[in-house]
Amino acid sequence: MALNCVVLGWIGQASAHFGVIIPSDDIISQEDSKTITLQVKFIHPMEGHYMEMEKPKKLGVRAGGKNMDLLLTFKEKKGRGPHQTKDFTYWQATYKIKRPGDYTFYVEPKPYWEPAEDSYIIHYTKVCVHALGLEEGWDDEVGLETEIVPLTRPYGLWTANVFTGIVKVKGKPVPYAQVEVEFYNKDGKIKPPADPYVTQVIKADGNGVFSYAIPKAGWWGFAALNEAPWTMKGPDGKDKSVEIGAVYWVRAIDMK
Amino acid sequence: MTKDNVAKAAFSHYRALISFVFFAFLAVMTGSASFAHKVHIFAYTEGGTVYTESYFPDGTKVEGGVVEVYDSEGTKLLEGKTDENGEFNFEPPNKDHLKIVLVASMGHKNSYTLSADELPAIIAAKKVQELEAKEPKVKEVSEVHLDQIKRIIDTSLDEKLKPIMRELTKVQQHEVSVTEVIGGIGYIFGITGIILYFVSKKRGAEKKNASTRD
Repeated sequence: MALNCVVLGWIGQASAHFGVIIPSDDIISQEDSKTITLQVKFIHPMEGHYMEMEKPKKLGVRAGGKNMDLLLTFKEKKGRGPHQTKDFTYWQATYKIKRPGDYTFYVEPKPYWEPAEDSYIIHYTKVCVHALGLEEGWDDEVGLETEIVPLTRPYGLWTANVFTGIVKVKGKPVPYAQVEVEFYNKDGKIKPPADPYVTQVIKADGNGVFSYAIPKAGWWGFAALNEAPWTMKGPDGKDKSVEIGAVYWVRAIDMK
Repeated sequence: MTKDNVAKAAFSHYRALISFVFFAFLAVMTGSASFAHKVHIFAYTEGGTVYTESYFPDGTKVEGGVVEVYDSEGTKLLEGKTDENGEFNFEPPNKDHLKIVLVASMGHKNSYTLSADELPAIIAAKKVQELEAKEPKVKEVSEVHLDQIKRIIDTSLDEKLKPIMRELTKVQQHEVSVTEVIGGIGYIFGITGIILYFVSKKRGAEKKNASTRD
């Protein structure tokens, strides 16, 4: 377990995997299109690099206190990051906002086999879209295996705002959970001077609560990684550990 | 001396009035403090009816808010009040863009624009009506009857709802006036105090005068 953590930590610093769910807009005003596009990816956000992604197991939205399944709306897409020489699969879904309120979109991918870590990775990934001025629902728990529940309203964030959340596994806070933070460096403009700048690492307190001051406008991913209490059969037929990640995406804009 | 007193009394009266105005303003301010956020109105269509919902960001419904509906030329088509669920529904009079304006208490105001293309159901309904209009007259007559019945129901409902609406506005007005009453009481106390002060001063002076005369 300890060794595993060390390995994870090392891998994480070099290139952390992040489940991604990013909407075309995170705040829907009445002038905006009510149809939002969601991109679901598996990437190294700071490098902007894609990984091949199978069709996710589950895509849903929580709104008005209810979870709704959206899996049927998925479309297969191809994309590549800067410096990548071939295309990778990601997924796209559209959703039409019908009513005011907060919409928490969540995705559960199929387990991703990572030979470098000798384990599977499942990132339960969430993002919140606010619609039409009714600020209700952003702090709702979806009820995933593991999830970050925001304690800071996750939209309408300025650059340098502190984002606070609570890490949960099976609905219970995870004391001193480790949270990795990465900027989605989509166009590759940001050049981190050293590895620790790629993935920033913070730890939650004894109640599983973490905070992070967002230094730049754009999309930021927060990934709290834990080892699942269950295992899965690896390609070699042996039991392999499963990294379950609770990922949350927020967007900050500059105060102008 | 007495002229001076009168002037002073008038001045302090004026000052008290200012403070009363200030207090009343404060009362109004505290009254709206819980509604420090913007109001919002949302509209959607279903089955040829436009449904509107008015709310504060925290989900509190706007009760007794005035909803005004305008067409694209800014002509007011109709007006109504939101119920206890912040809802107000109406039949759109035409298939033009609708600007729906919510005027809530304390000068809160917002609007929602339902563009013509956001009214597919209504347009479809209108088209159906137009098509039906071309059909035999008997049907048209029955439609007119239905419309009339609807109108009668609507107006009678409106009339029946009016006293409730009035009560609601009264309740709202009452809330503000309670704080105003407190302000008013303070104002009365202040004025009485000032008057008593001058009265006692005057009496003291009279007594002094009387004693020196003696």
